[in-house]
Amino acid sequence: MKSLPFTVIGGYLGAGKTTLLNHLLTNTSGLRVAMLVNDFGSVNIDVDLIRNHEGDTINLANGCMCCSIADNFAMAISRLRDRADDLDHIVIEASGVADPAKIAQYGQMYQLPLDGILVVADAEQVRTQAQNKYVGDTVLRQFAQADLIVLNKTDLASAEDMASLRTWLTEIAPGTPVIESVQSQVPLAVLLGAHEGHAAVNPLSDHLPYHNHSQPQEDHPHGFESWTLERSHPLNRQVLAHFAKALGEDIYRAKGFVCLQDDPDRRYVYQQVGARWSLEPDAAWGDDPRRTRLVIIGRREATNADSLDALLRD
Amino acid sequence: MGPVTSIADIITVLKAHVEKFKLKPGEWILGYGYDVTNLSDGRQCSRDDLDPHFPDNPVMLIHVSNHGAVLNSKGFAKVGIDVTTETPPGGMILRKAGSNEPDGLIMETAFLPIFAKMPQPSEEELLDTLDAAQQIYASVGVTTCQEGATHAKDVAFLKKGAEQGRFYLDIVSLPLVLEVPALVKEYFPDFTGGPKQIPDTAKESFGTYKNRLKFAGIKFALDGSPQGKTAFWSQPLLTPGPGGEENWRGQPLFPPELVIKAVKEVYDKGIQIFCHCNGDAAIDMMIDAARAAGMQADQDRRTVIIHSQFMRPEQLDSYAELGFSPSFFTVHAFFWGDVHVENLGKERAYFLSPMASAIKKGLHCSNHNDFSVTPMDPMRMTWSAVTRRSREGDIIGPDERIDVWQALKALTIEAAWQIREEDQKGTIAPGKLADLVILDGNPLTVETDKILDIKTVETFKEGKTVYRKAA
Repeated sequence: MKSLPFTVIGGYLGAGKTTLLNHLLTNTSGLRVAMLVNDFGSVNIDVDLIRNHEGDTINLANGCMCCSIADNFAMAISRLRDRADDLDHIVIEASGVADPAKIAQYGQMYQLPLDGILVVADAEQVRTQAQNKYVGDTVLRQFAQADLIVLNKTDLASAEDMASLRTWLTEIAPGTPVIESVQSQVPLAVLLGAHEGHAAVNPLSDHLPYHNHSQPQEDHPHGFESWTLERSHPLNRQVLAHFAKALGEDIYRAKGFVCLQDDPDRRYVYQQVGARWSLEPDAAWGDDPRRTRLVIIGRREATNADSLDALLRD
Repeated sequence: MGPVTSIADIITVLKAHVEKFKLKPGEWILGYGYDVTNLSDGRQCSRDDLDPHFPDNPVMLIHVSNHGAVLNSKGFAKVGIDVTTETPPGGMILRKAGSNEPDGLIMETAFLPIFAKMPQPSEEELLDTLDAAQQIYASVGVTTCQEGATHAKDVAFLKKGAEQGRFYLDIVSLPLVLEVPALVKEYFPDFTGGPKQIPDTAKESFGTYKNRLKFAGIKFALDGSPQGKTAFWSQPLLTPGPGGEENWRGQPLFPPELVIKAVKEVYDKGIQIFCHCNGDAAIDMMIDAARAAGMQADQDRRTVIIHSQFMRPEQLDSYAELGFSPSFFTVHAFFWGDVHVENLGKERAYFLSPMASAIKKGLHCSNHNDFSVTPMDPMRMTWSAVTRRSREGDIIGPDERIDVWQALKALTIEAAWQIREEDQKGTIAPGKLADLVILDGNPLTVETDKILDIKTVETFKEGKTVYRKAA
């Protein structure tokens, strides 16, 4: 069966998950994303985008679909697996009090590769939520399970609060990259991993209306930047493992194709989100040039091409 | 599958099913409620039991948990599981001794993806199961059955069953709060309120029987199950969580902000609330929500807290103040009492379903059975409330034992009170319905352990026989 990676999006009530899902669904630039949501009513899809309703599924004109988990996750996943050829990626919304890691485990039971766990937080409310006697431990657990944290609604927090919030997050989720956003506006290339032939494999591309690495936007808490690394000679696995561990929390994503010394005829797909990374064998290179090409996306000015280049040296 | 007690029974029932529906070769034979603990054979049903009788049809006996099934050889061929199939992570494929050949039972991830693709029974087929389903209740003397968490599609199904006159017992349904938006859309198409609001007239849909079907109130559920460690407690368990978590105390199913809003909306619209809470933290959430809504005992709202299994003693006072009425689940003492002691320690586990303490506080307490999680067996419920004895023989909270008379009241008059039918049901008195059962022993006088052996001779619904034991 075709490999269909999935991303879990978690976070407590009011963090901005729904806004993020909506943003994702309408800005996929050709990537066919199936979204599994708890409640249709909460995802307010622009009617102009809807092609049709099919029971528990809304099909969009851009090739994406939105499916209600209703009461049966197994059934919903099974239906998507049957339509794998029409899809590139699955995004699963975790409910506000769910452990996203459990949902990730569940998806993996169905033999789907996990692309990553994103947890959205409300910058204004999160610390109060973390102290709530009923859900505080759940909120903290969600952050501990995240590969990437999207700290949202930063426009509602003062500069002072933001500073202490950043420190607090490094304590409760050490080493996990934190992206700051307003209205859950995070580029698709950061949210999802690599897909051959689609924009998400490319550097931050110009289809993104909100951020463009070549045009710094002053009104945004922080910008994104992408770098590209290329190697024409095959890489040693250990070098790549070292590279993955050395990227640090200012790098959100790294992805691309790799040519390995010990298996030079086969193309490998490299995917990294936060500290989670994988290297999976793909098709043979065939007539394509055998070269490693990685795209690295992180906080603007977090690093530079030379420093990254040095990390990938034998 | 109804009341089967052996593998031979299963085969008899399935054969009757093939006969009744005139199944052609290749068509699925589906059974529901398979449970090895109900079989006198003392082992799992295997494909070898089924194959000789059903060589041409795939058979799937779905486990009582809905998380597994027993298949015959045709069934395995149809779903593509054979000797070469690896057991997926998180799943189980029972193999024949000394080989890799599937034996029959598959569970969890080995089963769920297959189940998701199974042809669903048609509405007609499901309607035809209503008689057998009612017989499970009638055969043990139960004449009012509660459907404890009804989805929107099942509301429509039950209504259809009622319209067709298929109910001869009284069916009390509690639509799930999550389904309320769908129900409002379907039954109140002109309603212009928000998605989390209920029309003022909605309460008229509740409280009266129509063709033996009554909607009593709206069902909330705030946590999971204690044996699955998905209940929500204020203090951690002594053992790791379901995923190996340390300091695990479970989780609520919904954020408290949502619970407060939803409870208030249902309360404001005058609809009775039935709320599933197993752990004390889930109970705290419900207490908070009821206080925020302005609930008080003298309003006689009869808010029923289903399960109320792991309360803290002082929560009984809040129940009294708010007018909560617990529906306990005392057979847990037998089925999982030892597990609860291991997970929670004696002090907390022994306060499981604290029936004696609740009665002392003057609360109306019923005793329920979460069929099909536990068998439909009122005599076991009675025995369990009286003895609180576990499988291992431990007494799970000696102080919470009650006498047989109180145990019988919890199954009759108190249960009727909770659904506002105490004027019609629950005691034998002039003017009340003749919903009666004849037992072959007197639970009030037999030796306590003999209560378990008492059998139903005949059951009457409004004077008409709905079950009679075969001579």
